[in-house]
Amino acid sequence: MRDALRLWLLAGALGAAVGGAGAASGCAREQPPPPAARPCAPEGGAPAVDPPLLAFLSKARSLHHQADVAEAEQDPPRALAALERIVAEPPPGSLAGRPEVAEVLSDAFARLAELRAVQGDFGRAAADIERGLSHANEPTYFRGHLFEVRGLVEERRADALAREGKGDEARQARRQAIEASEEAVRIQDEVIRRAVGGKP
Amino acid sequence: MSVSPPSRPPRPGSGEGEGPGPEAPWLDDPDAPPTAEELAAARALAEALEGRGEAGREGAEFASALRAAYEPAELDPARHEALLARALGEAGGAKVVRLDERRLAARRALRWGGATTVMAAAAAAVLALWPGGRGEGPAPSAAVAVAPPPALRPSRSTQELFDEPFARSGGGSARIDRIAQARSRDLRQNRFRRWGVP
Repeated sequence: MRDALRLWLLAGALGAAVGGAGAASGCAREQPPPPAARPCAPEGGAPAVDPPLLAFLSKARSLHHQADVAEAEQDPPRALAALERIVAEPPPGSLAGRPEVAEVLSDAFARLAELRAVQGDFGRAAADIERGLSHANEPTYFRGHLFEVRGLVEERRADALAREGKGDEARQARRQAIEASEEAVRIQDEVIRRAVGGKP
Repeated sequence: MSVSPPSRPPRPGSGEGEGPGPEAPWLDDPDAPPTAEELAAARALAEALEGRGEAGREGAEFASALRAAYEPAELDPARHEALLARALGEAGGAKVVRLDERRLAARRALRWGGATTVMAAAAAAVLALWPGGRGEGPAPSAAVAVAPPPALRPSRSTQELFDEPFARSGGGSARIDRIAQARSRDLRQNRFRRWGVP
């Protein structure tokens, strides 16, 4: 009886020693699963995509489609009014500086400028281009597109000046159109170079 | 000890030893009033169960068994000695260990086992804390390290959504459609990540 008890105690002690050594060696299989961790904030301090951003984008999308309908109905003023609602108010604080917001605003200004040029409102078209460029400082398709639209606006203005018999001003407008197109090409080259990892 | 309750007194005319026959009226009518003999036997059994009275041997054994099962009494020392003597006598040459000696042996074994267990725990602690004891393997924290939770999808340029420069004219609606759709996916993914959905 006593020997049996000693044997059992010895076995228990050995078991405790083996268990302790196993725990000390860090057996991952024995570890409980970690608790659910909170997701990290985006790197670089950028805000996460959130409902306000989606709300802004949805609003812009709706107004672009309203402008489509108005253009299809040959109603440019209504199309302009829809697009102006996109750019009318500065985005609220939490959206200010978001790349998506800036790019959508710059694209809305580009479309506004195009429509105004069709209407012959070249002065406001040029102003829209400038405002659009203020939202697209980096070499992106959006910035390149604004220069392309600037080229279109200058071409239309040159045509209008030529029809008015203002040849010199028309030639100057055509030069500006070519310069804008060249700038657009330069920006697109820069975008391509960055996309393929080349040096700027 | 095999104990059976005292047998029911035979009814008059039931035929002792023949078992109850169809002539036994109490089999047909359990609610029949008890006979005088049945009442006397019930009184004797009740007294025996309460530890008093003069019950018959059969009833006394039955009552003793019931009482021992429900509320065992202290064993009479003289009876205890007698039982021990009989048991030891039957054991013959077997080794007899007194109860107090067995308790002492158990205590010694417990002390020995406890000391062994403490030493084993100390050895485990040394293994855990020994700087080079685990060789070149990764640290435990690295072994159980889990991948960091995925970061939320950030607000960023939509340039990646477009494979080629925009058309010279038009296409504004198609672009905003693509942008809103992509960011809608991002927002849904961020919600899942906040909920802990992988």
